Amino acid sequence: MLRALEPKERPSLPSNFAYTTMRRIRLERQKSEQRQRIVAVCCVLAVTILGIGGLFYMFGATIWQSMVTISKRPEDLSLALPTFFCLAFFALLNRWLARHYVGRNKT
Amino acid sequence: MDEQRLIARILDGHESDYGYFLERYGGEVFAIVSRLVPNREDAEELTQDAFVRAYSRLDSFIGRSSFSTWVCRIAYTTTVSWLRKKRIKYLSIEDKPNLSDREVDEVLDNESRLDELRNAIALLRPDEQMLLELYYFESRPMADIAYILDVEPGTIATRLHRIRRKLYTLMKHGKDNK
Repeated sequence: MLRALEPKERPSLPSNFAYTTMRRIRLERQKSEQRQRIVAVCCVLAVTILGIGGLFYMFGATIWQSMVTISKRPEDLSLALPTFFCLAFFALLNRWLARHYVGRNKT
Repeated sequence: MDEQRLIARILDGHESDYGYFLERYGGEVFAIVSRLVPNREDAEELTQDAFVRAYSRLDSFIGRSSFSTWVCRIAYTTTVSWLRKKRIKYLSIEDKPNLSDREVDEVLDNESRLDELRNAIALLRPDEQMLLELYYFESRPMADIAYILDVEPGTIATRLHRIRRKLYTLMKHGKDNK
Protein backbone atom coordinates (compact mmCIF):
# COMPACT_ATOMS: atom_id res chain seq x y z
CA MET A 1 0.00 0.00 0.00
CA LEU A 2 2.96 2.30 0.57
CA ARG A 3 3.46 2.49 -3.19
CA ALA A 4 -0.13 3.71 -3.54
CA LEU A 5 0.94 6.88 -1.73
CA GLU A 6 3.31 7.85 -4.53
CA PRO A 7 2.34 11.35 -5.69
CA LYS A 8 0.54 11.28 -9.04
CA GLU A 9 2.44 14.34 -10.23
CA ARG A 10 5.96 15.27 -9.27
CA PRO A 11 6.25 18.78 -7.84
CA SER A 12 7.79 20.96 -10.54
CA LEU A 13 10.33 23.73 -10.24
CA PRO A 14 9.71 27.21 -11.71
CA SER A 15 10.81 27.54 -15.33
CA ASN A 16 13.55 30.06 -14.45
CA PHE A 17 15.15 27.74 -11.85
CA ALA A 18 18.24 27.02 -13.98
CA TYR A 19 18.71 30.73 -14.77
CA THR A 20 18.41 31.90 -11.13
CA THR A 21 20.68 29.10 -9.90
CA MET A 22 23.35 29.91 -12.49
CA ARG A 23 23.15 33.59 -11.49
CA ARG A 24 23.59 32.61 -7.84
CA ILE A 25 26.54 30.36 -8.72
CA ARG A 26 28.21 33.27 -10.53
CA LEU A 27 27.64 35.58 -7.57
CA GLU A 28 29.02 32.99 -5.14
CA ARG A 29 32.09 32.50 -7.37
CA GLN A 30 32.71 36.25 -7.54
CA LYS A 31 32.41 36.52 -3.76
CA SER A 32 34.81 33.64 -3.20
CA GLU A 33 37.31 35.14 -5.69
CA GLN A 34 37.06 38.45 -3.85
CA ARG A 35 37.71 36.69 -0.55
CA GLN A 36 40.69 34.82 -2.02
CA ARG A 37 42.09 38.09 -3.41
CA ILE A 38 41.79 39.79 0.00
CA VAL A 39 43.44 36.82 1.72
CA ALA A 40 46.26 36.84 -0.88
CA VAL A 41 46.87 40.59 -0.45
CA CYS A 42 46.88 40.20 3.34
CA CYS A 43 49.35 37.31 3.11
CA VAL A 44 51.68 39.26 0.79
CA LEU A 45 51.53 42.29 3.10
CA ALA A 46 52.17 40.18 6.20
CA VAL A 47 55.11 38.36 4.61
CA THR A 48 56.58 41.64 3.29
CA ILE A 49 56.24 43.38 6.64
CA LEU A 50 57.67 40.39 8.49
CA GLY A 51 60.50 40.03 5.96
CA ILE A 52 61.51 43.69 5.98
CA GLY A 53 60.97 43.87 9.74
CA GLY A 54 63.12 40.78 10.23
CA LEU A 55 65.89 42.20 8.07
CA PHE A 56 65.84 45.47 9.99
CA TYR A 57 65.70 43.63 13.30
CA MET A 58 68.79 41.59 12.45
CA PHE A 59 70.83 43.98 10.29
CA GLY A 60 69.14 47.32 11.11
CA ALA A 61 72.30 49.10 12.19
CA THR A 62 74.30 47.91 9.13
CA ILE A 63 71.48 48.83 6.68
CA TRP A 64 71.10 52.27 8.25
CA GLN A 65 74.84 52.83 8.09
CA SER A 66 74.93 51.85 4.39
CA MET A 67 72.02 54.17 3.57
CA VAL A 68 73.74 57.07 5.30
CA THR A 69 76.98 56.32 3.38
CA ILE A 70 75.13 56.10 0.00
CA SER A 71 73.19 59.31 0.60
CA LYS A 72 76.46 61.13 1.19
CA ARG A 73 77.73 60.13 -2.29
CA PRO A 74 75.07 61.13 -4.91
CA GLU A 75 76.92 59.27 -7.73
CA ASP A 76 75.85 55.93 -6.08
CA LEU A 77 72.18 56.90 -6.63
CA SER A 78 72.57 56.84 -10.44
CA LEU A 79 71.11 53.30 -10.59
CA ALA A 80 67.94 54.20 -8.66
CA LEU A 81 66.06 55.86 -11.55
CA PRO A 82 66.56 53.04 -14.14
CA THR A 83 65.65 50.47 -11.46
CA PHE A 84 62.43 52.36 -10.69
CA PHE A 85 61.44 52.48 -14.40
CA CYS A 86 62.28 48.82 -14.82
CA LEU A 87 60.05 47.82 -11.88
CA ALA A 88 57.22 50.04 -13.14
CA PHE A 89 57.49 48.39 -16.59
CA PHE A 90 57.29 44.88 -15.07
CA ALA A 91 54.30 45.86 -12.94
CA LEU A 92 52.44 47.14 -16.04
CA LEU A 93 53.40 44.05 -18.07
CA ASN A 94 52.15 41.78 -15.27
CA ARG A 95 48.82 43.63 -15.16
CA TRP A 96 48.41 43.44 -18.96
CA LEU A 97 49.19 39.69 -19.06
CA ALA A 98 46.80 38.96 -16.19
CA ARG A 99 43.99 40.87 -17.88
CA HIS A 100 44.50 39.25 -21.30
CA TYR A 101 45.19 35.64 -20.35
CA VAL A 102 43.91 34.89 -16.83
CA GLY A 103 40.60 36.75 -17.29
CA ARG A 104 39.90 35.12 -20.67
CA ASN A 105 39.76 31.56 -19.26
CA LYS A 106 36.80 32.43 -17.07
CA THR A 107 33.58 31.97 -19.02
CA MET B 1 28.03 14.11 -24.14
CA ASP B 2 29.15 11.85 -21.29
CA GLU B 3 28.40 13.46 -17.90
CA GLN B 4 31.90 12.85 -16.58
CA ARG B 5 33.33 14.67 -19.60
CA LEU B 6 30.83 17.49 -19.12
CA ILE B 7 31.99 17.86 -15.52
CA ALA B 8 35.60 18.02 -16.72
CA ARG B 9 34.57 20.81 -19.12
CA ILE B 10 32.84 22.73 -16.31
CA LEU B 11 35.94 22.41 -14.14
CA ASP B 12 37.93 23.69 -17.09
CA GLY B 13 35.98 26.96 -16.98
CA HIS B 14 32.84 26.28 -19.05
CA GLU B 15 30.58 27.28 -16.18
CA SER B 16 27.41 27.57 -18.28
CA ASP B 17 27.49 23.81 -19.04
CA TYR B 18 26.27 23.27 -15.49
CA GLY B 19 22.83 24.31 -16.75
CA TYR B 20 22.48 20.82 -18.24
CA PHE B 21 22.56 19.25 -14.75
CA LEU B 22 20.12 21.82 -13.40
CA GLU B 23 17.63 21.11 -16.19
CA ARG B 24 18.06 17.35 -16.00
CA TYR B 25 18.12 16.68 -12.26
CA GLY B 26 16.42 19.77 -10.80
CA GLY B 27 13.01 18.07 -10.64
CA GLU B 28 14.38 14.90 -9.08
CA VAL B 29 16.20 16.79 -6.33
CA PHE B 30 13.18 19.04 -5.76
CA ALA B 31 10.96 15.96 -5.30
CA ILE B 32 13.31 14.59 -2.64
CA VAL B 33 13.56 17.90 -0.79
CA SER B 34 9.77 18.42 -0.99
CA ARG B 35 9.25 15.10 0.78
CA LEU B 36 10.94 16.52 3.89
CA VAL B 37 10.03 20.19 3.48
CA PRO B 38 6.41 20.65 2.44
CA ASN B 39 6.67 24.46 2.12
CA ARG B 40 7.29 25.11 -1.58
CA GLU B 41 9.47 28.23 -1.21
CA ASP B 42 11.73 26.57 1.36
CA ALA B 43 12.00 23.45 -0.81
CA GLU B 44 12.98 25.56 -3.85
CA GLU B 45 15.58 27.44 -1.82
CA LEU B 46 17.05 24.20 -0.47
CA THR B 47 17.14 22.65 -3.95
CA GLN B 48 19.08 25.68 -5.15
CA ASP B 49 21.41 25.47 -2.14
CA ALA B 50 22.10 21.82 -2.95
CA PHE B 51 23.02 22.60 -6.57
CA VAL B 52 25.20 25.56 -5.57
CA ARG B 53 26.97 23.37 -3.00
CA ALA B 54 27.38 20.59 -5.59
CA TYR B 55 28.91 23.10 -8.01
CA SER B 56 31.42 24.33 -5.44
CA ARG B 57 32.44 20.73 -4.68
CA LEU B 58 32.41 19.53 -8.27
CA ASP B 59 36.16 18.85 -8.20
CA SER B 60 35.56 16.27 -5.45
CA PHE B 61 33.09 14.29 -7.61
CA ILE B 62 35.04 11.20 -8.55
CA GLY B 63 32.25 9.28 -10.27
CA ARG B 64 31.84 6.67 -7.53
CA SER B 65 28.10 7.11 -8.07
CA SER B 66 26.06 8.80 -10.79
CA PHE B 67 25.81 12.60 -10.65
CA SER B 68 22.12 12.29 -9.82
CA THR B 69 22.80 10.12 -6.74
CA TRP B 70 25.62 12.41 -5.67
CA VAL B 71 23.54 15.58 -5.88
CA CYS B 72 20.63 13.83 -4.11
CA ARG B 73 22.97 13.00 -1.24
CA ILE B 74 24.04 16.65 -1.02
CA ALA B 75 20.38 17.73 -1.14
CA TYR B 76 19.51 15.26 1.62
CA THR B 77 22.31 16.43 3.97
CA THR B 78 21.51 20.10 3.21
CA THR B 79 17.84 19.52 4.03
CA VAL B 80 18.54 17.55 7.20
CA SER B 81 20.86 20.23 8.57
CA TRP B 82 18.26 22.90 7.68
CA LEU B 83 15.59 20.91 9.57
CA ARG B 84 17.98 20.54 12.51
CA LYS B 85 18.43 24.32 12.61
CA LYS B 86 14.64 24.73 12.59
CA ARG B 87 14.54 22.38 15.61
CA ILE B 88 11.61 20.39 14.26
CA LYS B 89 10.71 17.62 16.68
CA TYR B 90 10.04 14.07 15.47
CA LEU B 91 8.42 11.22 17.27
CA SER B 92 10.58 8.52 18.72
CA ILE B 93 8.69 5.26 19.12
CA GLU B 94 9.86 2.17 20.91
CA ASP B 95 9.97 -0.93 18.72
CA LYS B 96 7.67 -3.67 19.99
CA PRO B 97 9.52 -6.97 19.71
CA ASN B 98 6.41 -9.15 20.06
CA LEU B 99 4.77 -7.68 16.95
CA SER B 100 4.21 -10.16 14.12
CA ASP B 101 4.80 -9.25 10.45
CA ARG B 102 1.28 -10.46 9.57
CA GLU B 103 -0.24 -7.93 11.99
CA VAL B 104 1.84 -5.13 10.49
CA ASP B 105 0.97 -6.10 6.90
CA GLU B 106 -2.73 -6.25 7.71
CA VAL B 107 -2.79 -2.66 8.93
CA LEU B 108 -0.41 -1.22 6.33
CA ASP B 109 -2.09 -2.95 3.39
CA ASN B 110 -5.58 -1.79 4.30
CA GLU B 111 -6.38 0.58 1.41
CA SER B 112 -9.13 2.36 3.34
CA ARG B 113 -6.47 3.77 5.68
CA LEU B 114 -4.39 5.63 3.10
CA ASP B 115 -4.86 9.02 4.77
CA GLU B 116 -3.85 7.61 8.15
CA LEU B 117 -0.77 6.12 6.56
CA ARG B 118 0.10 9.45 4.92
CA ASN B 119 -0.23 11.23 8.27
CA ALA B 120 1.87 8.56 9.99
CA ILE B 121 4.65 8.95 7.40
CA ALA B 122 4.74 12.69 8.07
CA LEU B 123 5.56 11.93 11.72
CA LEU B 124 8.61 9.81 10.89
CA ARG B 125 12.17 11.11 11.21
CA PRO B 126 13.66 12.73 8.02
CA ASP B 127 15.97 9.76 7.32
CA GLU B 128 13.02 7.36 7.59
CA GLN B 129 10.81 9.48 5.33
CA MET B 130 13.65 9.73 2.84
CA LEU B 131 14.17 5.97 2.87
CA LEU B 132 10.49 5.41 2.05
CA GLU B 133 10.63 8.04 -0.71
CA LEU B 134 13.71 6.53 -2.33
CA TYR B 135 12.66 2.90 -1.97
CA TYR B 136 8.91 2.93 -2.63
CA PHE B 137 8.35 6.04 -4.77
CA GLU B 138 11.61 6.49 -6.65
CA SER B 139 12.44 2.74 -6.78
CA ARG B 140 16.14 3.45 -6.50
CA PRO B 141 18.69 0.62 -6.18
CA MET B 142 19.74 -0.28 -2.63
CA ALA B 143 23.32 0.86 -3.27
CA ASP B 144 22.13 4.35 -4.30
CA ILE B 145 19.83 4.61 -1.29
CA ALA B 146 22.67 3.61 1.03
CA TYR B 147 24.97 6.20 -0.59
CA ILE B 148 22.41 9.02 -0.34
CA LEU B 149 21.57 8.27 3.31
CA ASP B 150 25.20 7.45 4.16
CA VAL B 151 24.38 4.05 5.69
CA GLU B 152 25.58 0.49 5.07
CA PRO B 153 23.68 -1.15 2.16
CA GLY B 154 23.11 -4.24 4.29
CA THR B 155 21.07 -2.29 6.83
CA ILE B 156 18.45 -0.95 4.39
CA ALA B 157 16.15 -3.98 4.61
CA THR B 158 16.25 -3.95 8.43
CA ARG B 159 15.54 -0.22 8.48
CA LEU B 160 12.56 -0.64 6.15
CA HIS B 161 11.24 -3.42 8.35
CA ARG B 162 11.58 -1.24 11.44
CA ILE B 163 9.85 1.67 9.69
CA ARG B 164 6.90 -0.54 8.74
CA ARG B 165 6.52 -1.57 12.38
CA LYS B 166 6.77 2.04 13.45
CA LEU B 167 4.04 3.01 10.97
CA TYR B 168 1.89 0.21 12.32
CA THR B 169 2.31 1.55 15.87
CA LEU B 170 1.48 5.08 14.75
CA MET B 171 -1.62 3.98 12.84
CA LYS B 172 -2.86 1.56 15.46
CA HIS B 173 -2.27 3.66 18.55
CA GLY B 174 -1.87 7.19 17.18
CA LYS B 175 0.63 9.84 18.21
CA ASP B 176 0.11 9.20 21.93
CA ASN B 177 2.03 5.94 21.80
CA LYS B 178 5.58 7.28 22.08
